[in-house]
This record gives sequence, C-alpha cells and structure tokens, in this order.
Amino acid sequence: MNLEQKDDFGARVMGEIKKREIEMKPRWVFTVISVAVVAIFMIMLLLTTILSSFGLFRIRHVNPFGFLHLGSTGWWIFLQIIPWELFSFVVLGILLTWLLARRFDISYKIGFGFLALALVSIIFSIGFLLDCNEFGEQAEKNGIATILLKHDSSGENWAVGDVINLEKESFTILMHNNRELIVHFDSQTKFQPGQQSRVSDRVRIIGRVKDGEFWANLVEREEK
Amino acid sequence: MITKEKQEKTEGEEIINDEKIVESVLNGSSERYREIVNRYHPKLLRYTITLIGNKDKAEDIVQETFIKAYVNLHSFDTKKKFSSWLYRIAHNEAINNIRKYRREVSLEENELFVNKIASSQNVSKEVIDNEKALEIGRCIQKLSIKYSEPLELFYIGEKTYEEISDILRLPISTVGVRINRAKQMVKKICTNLEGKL
Repeated sequence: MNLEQKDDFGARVMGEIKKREIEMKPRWVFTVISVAVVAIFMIMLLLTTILSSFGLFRIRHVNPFGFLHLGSTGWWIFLQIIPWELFSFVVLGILLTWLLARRFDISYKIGFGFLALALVSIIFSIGFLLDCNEFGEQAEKNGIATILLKHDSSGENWAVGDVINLEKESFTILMHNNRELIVHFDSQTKFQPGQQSRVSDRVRIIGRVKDGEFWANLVEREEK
Repeated sequence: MITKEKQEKTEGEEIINDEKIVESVLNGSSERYREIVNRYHPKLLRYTITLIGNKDKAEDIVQETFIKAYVNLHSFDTKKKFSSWLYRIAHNEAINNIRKYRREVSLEENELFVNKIASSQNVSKEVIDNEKALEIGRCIQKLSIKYSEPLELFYIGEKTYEEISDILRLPISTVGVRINRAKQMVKKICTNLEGKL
C-alpha cells in the first residue's frame, strides 16, 4: 500500500467523521458506565450471596441429604425438599455476576472458567458463613424475605423435627416455626438405629397420612 | 518470538507513539486522528481480510472501526496499549459482520499469511512455490476463526501473546495453546489433503 492510498483513507475517515457530524462521547459517559457496572456487580454479588445463605438455611433446617440413603422413597423426598426455586435464583445470579465480571480486564487474564469457579466459591463460602451466624434466623425473625425463607418441615410422606413428647403408640415432634406434629407408630414401624426415639432426639420420618393422622413407616434418629 | 516495530516512521521522522497522538486528539487536535488512521489502516485491513475474506467488506469494517474508536476515544486508558484497544474494536466489528454474513476467505489474500507461517517454521521460502502456498491457504481456510485469528495476529499482526490476549480477551495460556494447535491443525489438514490428491 503506498503513501497516497494511506492518505486517501485517512482523509476518507476524517471526511466521514465531519460529514456525519460524529462527535466523541464525553468522558463522563464512560465514567458513569464504569461506576454503574461496578455498582451493579457488587449488588448482584451481595444479593446472590444472601440468596445462597437462605438456601443453606433451608437445607440446614430439614437436611434433605439425610433422606438419600433411605432408598427410592428417600430420593423422591430429597427432590421435593431441595429449595430448587432459591437455587435457580442463585444460579441466575451467579450467571449475571459472571457476565458483568467479564467486562473487567482481570476476567480474561485469569480465565472465564476460573472466574466462574471463584464466584461460586466466594458466594457459597460467604453464604455459608452467614448461615453459620444464623443470618436466616435473624431475617426470619425480622420478617425479611419471608417468601424465600418459608419452608415446610413435613410433607405427605415425610417429616423432620425434634421429639418433645413420647406416648405408648405415638410421639410428638416440634418442627420449624414451632409447629407440632403427632406421629403414630405401630408394630410395622421401623426405628433406626434399632431403638425407639427419646425426648429431644432429632428425627426424620418416612410415613403416610391415614384418616388425617400421620403414621410412621420409618423413624430415623439423627446424630446431633 | 518475532520482534516488532512498534510504530511506523519515515526516515528522519521522530517516533511519536500512538498514546501521545491520542492524548493530543483528546485535547482538541482532532485532525491528528488522521495520523492514527493512516498508521493502522493497512494492518487492520489485512487483519479484517483474514477474518472476513472479502476486501470490500473489510474496508467498510476498518472504516467503521476507526469511526467507533473516534467516538469512544475517551474510554481509552492512555496508560494501556492503543493498538490492542483498536484491534479489539476491529475484532468486534468483524465478528458482528461474520454473524450477519458467511465468511468468505479468498486464497490470494491468504498468501502473505501462508508465507509468514512457513518462514516461522524454518521452511525456506523458495521451497514454497505458488502451488504449495495455495495448498496451505486451502488448509488455513479450513480452520475456524477460533484458531486462524490468533495465528493471524501473531504472524501477520506481529503481536505478542499478551497483546493477543488483550485483543481477544483470552488468557495468555489459551492464546499459546490456540496458536500451537492451529499450526498443528494446518499441518494435519495439509497432510490429509496431500494424501487425497
């Protein structure tokens, strides 16, 4: 390419800029965009972390993983208990945070895969720490995000709670939000690990509702 | 690694780096932007031709690149490398264009690319006759942009791995892997083609 051609192109571009009355965007526009991106990123990170701590709070209360070793019924209950909607929000939050983080130069220097891993680790680590400090309980007590924190400690074929009263053919458990449930048992009911529950034991139960009463098929004492 | 001339200059001329010119454009001497345009026009044109494969479209893309760069010049951090920033805009423009239209790479336009790769692999230029060059061109055509682009930036654009990383927004290690893989792929494709002939 010779010098004349180069000059022609330079003139062409400058001519186009003048013809279309193109002007540079002022610096403040970019400053505002940068500040907005950082602010949205921080807010997303914070919200996703809080949501993850709420998810962990709900999992801690009913411990769905405890049902996994109880066969296909246990697996089915596990799938019912996991707070899918909350973790869907967390996944969405992580995705949006990751997309925003990709705007920063550091993102491609460390790699997008590593960035995603770092975000997941940070969000769940802080979420876990918040949950350890009973952040969920505090929020619940103050009536914050009740829709997200609301969860059941029993369903049609399962229940989780602390034994507060023992009778000859039934016992009462105290569940989340101070709800009580009377659990009936008979000779067919299996107790694990091989003995009947005692008061203050935390138990998970697989059972059924019969004539408006909850009957236990299996009662498992949870190690505290 | 290929050493490179950072800036173009004619004999007796003082080297003025891009960032200084940009600073003066930002300070009001907008006519100096022409120097930037003339400095980068051939390089960007070659780069976009490799991506798009059509000279006319590439010309339009380069023009749009310079206009976009001008509009967004205040977003450029003068402490960073201007050429990487400009190539990034060209890359985005080209990719947007590719998404709209299919990639059309002409073999003739790839000849320079072919020769550069061959010389980097210590293959004598004499050995590569026109026929061979066209054959390698055909092999490169078969590469996806994912591999041909870093290869082009490295051999034709004479960019370092770090600059390619800034342009393509990829980790440096990925850039290295892609270039090496691209070279191996070209070799493999060419061997397969030879076998078929």
